[in-house]
Amino acid sequence: MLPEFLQDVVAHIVPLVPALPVLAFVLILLPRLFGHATSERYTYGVVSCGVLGSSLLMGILAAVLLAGLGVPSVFTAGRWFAVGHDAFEVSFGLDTLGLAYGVFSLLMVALVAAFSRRYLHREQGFHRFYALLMLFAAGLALVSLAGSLDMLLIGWELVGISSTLLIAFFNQRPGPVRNALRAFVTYRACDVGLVIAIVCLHVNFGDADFVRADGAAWLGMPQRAAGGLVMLIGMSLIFAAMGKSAQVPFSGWLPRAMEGPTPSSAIFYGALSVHLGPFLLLRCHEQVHASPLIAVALVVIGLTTTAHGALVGRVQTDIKSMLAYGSVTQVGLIMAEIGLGLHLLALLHIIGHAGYRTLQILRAPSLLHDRHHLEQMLGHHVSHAVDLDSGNRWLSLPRVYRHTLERGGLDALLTDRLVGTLLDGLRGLDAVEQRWSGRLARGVLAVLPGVRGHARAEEKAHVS
Amino acid sequence: MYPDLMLTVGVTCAMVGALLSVLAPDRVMARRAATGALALATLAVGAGLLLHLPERSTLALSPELPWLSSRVIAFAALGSGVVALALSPVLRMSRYDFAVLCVLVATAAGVPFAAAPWLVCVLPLVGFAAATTSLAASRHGREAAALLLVMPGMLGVLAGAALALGTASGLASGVWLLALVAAPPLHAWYLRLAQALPLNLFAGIVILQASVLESAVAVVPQAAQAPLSWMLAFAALGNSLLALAQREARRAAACIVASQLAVAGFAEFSSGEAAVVGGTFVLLTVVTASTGFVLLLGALEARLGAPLGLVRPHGCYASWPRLANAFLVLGLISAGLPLTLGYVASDLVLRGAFAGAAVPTTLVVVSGALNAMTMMKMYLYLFQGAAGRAQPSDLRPRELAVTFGLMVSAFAFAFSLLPG
Repeated sequence: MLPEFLQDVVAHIVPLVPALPVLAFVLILLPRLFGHATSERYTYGVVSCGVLGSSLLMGILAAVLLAGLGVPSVFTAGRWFAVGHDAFEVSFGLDTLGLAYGVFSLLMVALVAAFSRRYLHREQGFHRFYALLMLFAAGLALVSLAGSLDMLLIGWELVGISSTLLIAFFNQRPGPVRNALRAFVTYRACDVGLVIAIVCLHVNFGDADFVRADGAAWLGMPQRAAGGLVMLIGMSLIFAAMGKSAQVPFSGWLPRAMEGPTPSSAIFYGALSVHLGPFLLLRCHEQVHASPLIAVALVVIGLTTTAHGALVGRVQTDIKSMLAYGSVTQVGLIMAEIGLGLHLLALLHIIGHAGYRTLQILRAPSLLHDRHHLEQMLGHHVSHAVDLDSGNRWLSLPRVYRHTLERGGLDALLTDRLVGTLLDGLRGLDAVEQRWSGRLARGVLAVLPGVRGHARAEEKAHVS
Repeated sequence: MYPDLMLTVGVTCAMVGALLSVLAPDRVMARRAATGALALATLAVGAGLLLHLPERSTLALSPELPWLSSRVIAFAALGSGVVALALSPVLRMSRYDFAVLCVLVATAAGVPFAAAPWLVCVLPLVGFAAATTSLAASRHGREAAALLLVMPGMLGVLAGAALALGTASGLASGVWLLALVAAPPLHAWYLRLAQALPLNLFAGIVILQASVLESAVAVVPQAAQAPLSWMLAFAALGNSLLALAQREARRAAACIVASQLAVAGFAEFSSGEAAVVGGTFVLLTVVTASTGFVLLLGALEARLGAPLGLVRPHGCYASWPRLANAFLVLGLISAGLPLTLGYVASDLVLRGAFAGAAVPTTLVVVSGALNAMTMMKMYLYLFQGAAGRAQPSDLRPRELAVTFGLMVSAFAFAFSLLPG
């Protein structure tokens, strides 16, 4: 445990880490809500204060960690609400996993915030972008420092909402609207898994708190369940992670999500948001390894996604889609690593991949410019033909090529077959409802002359 | 003594508001008179609530203190009535419509204090009858009025009679309650009402439904509560699915609200204490946030001059960004955005109900996710997309003040009026 004086200090610092970006979010939006136009300088100043303050505090927490002062630890900042035995404790956890992800996240947010100042200069949604970036930073800080799955869920949802609204950032075109909705639908559908896991834990064990097991380096949830409950909780968590991290069959939303501004694509779908699924599974690794079946399922999902992403990424015709499938491939590998129990490797993979992919996506709009530079330096054209003899041999098979061009048919399967059929059926039911209720209403009007007469009188009065 | 005084002040002020709006020389004066009278009623009831309960910690909503939840709901109903009146566009509502809204709110405030269970079933008929007067002008309106009178209206009278006579009361009250929350296939009246009524009056109907649901535990016999709870969970899921398939914004909004009311009903009939308290919070979410986004949908329609579809993006963000943001915030509160009233409500319901009924609770979880999807779809399709000619008149100061107050109160409920 931490020394007592440090416990008090840390307990006061931890809640401020997510609170500062939330404050920045409010300070950006509040003047605009009341019609006061603020300058870009004001918005950037508020964002700088929020992110730097939050990063500084996170740095202090990391220093405590590096000094070896008894972390991992869990702090309870208070109780939000309670009924009987059901209480929502506002708790935060400090350990290597959370702090590594948290420090890295805030660093990336600071970098992207600095990059976007010029990239989005005089853009119509400049302030909106930064407000949503702050909401995202708050969500990430909450996920990193969550002391329970309930707290993690709050951050998880904030990340999802800010992600959706940033995909729809360029609101003049219909494409971003559809793609944002698709991403949100995938998020919410898979969030059901996380909610069910939390509720199961609460009902069966009274809480969903992270604790430090003996000898464990990270906080986690010691395995307490048995039988079918283990499978339900484990598979629910994997389902939640699949949606957030675009695993097969939910990978179709990720390339579409690149419709947002490049800086947000970089930080959400290259760096941080897409890695939240693996982070959740690392945090709940005891549940993943509670049954060999769950771990095997995770490895299979991860490797299938890797194969899918690697193949489909090779036939994409735009750089952002190619990078999106690159992310899908790497995140699939990370999932497989977690399933195999290589947790430290998975954490390093997350940080390495996130940094590299962010750089790639941020440079993507300048790709042609960079290419011209390269060609000028080399003095000749650089060939961009796909070499089917080395590494892409599978793509020379027509069936495989068509399959990859159609993105594995997953989009058609989910959108047209599953959701489309469901919606068509529901609309059919709706039409039936309108028919029979119309008949019923006309029948009632025929039987109740009073209503009919009153209606006619009202109609005459209305017309006159 | 206190409940009687509260009831008298609240209902009398609302009825005076109705009378004043009918007698007013024009629609603007009618709206002002009705809003003023209802605001007075809300202030009186709120002050009484605070004076009677100086300790905030005693506001623990639980089965041991059912009278307290009724008061809170009655207070919220009156407050939401003020919001509905203040956000009413005068061009779309007549003086009689303002009076009808007052009557609906008065009925909503009075129902939790009904002296006998059968009265809970019969009293809403007063509000429904008033609403039919606003529906008579068009053919679709007349059809909606007929369905309103037959489905929740007459079924309520039958349920009241069954309760008074003590015969088949479980069946009658169960069917009535399913019709009241517009559970499929008894939801036809609700969707038609949403299409035909001015949305401010529809918000009044929602407030009345929430208020009746709060008292529904007393109406349904103990033996019928468990099966009814299952049916309400299925109703919540059914309405959420229907919401997702709608092509008209009004019908989608009605389906979302109906789904939330079914969740509240499911929670009220659950065995867990947390779920019962959560049910009350779902109702509070409905009367603040859900009616709020319905009213803002009305404000948007008043600006565009026609009911809105969800087939193509309308691009309203460019013209009315503040209206768009307010719609989004209230919609997300209603859908259970973390750190809001909706989140508290759903969290309590799920924790409390899962132990006793895992399958229906799972249906409720799915229903919540589907409602959030529909909410986001509505926001994206109504406000995003290519903008037409830029139009003035974003939220006016009056509308802004009311909307901001609504948001603050939804957050205040989430952070202060909480058990424990």
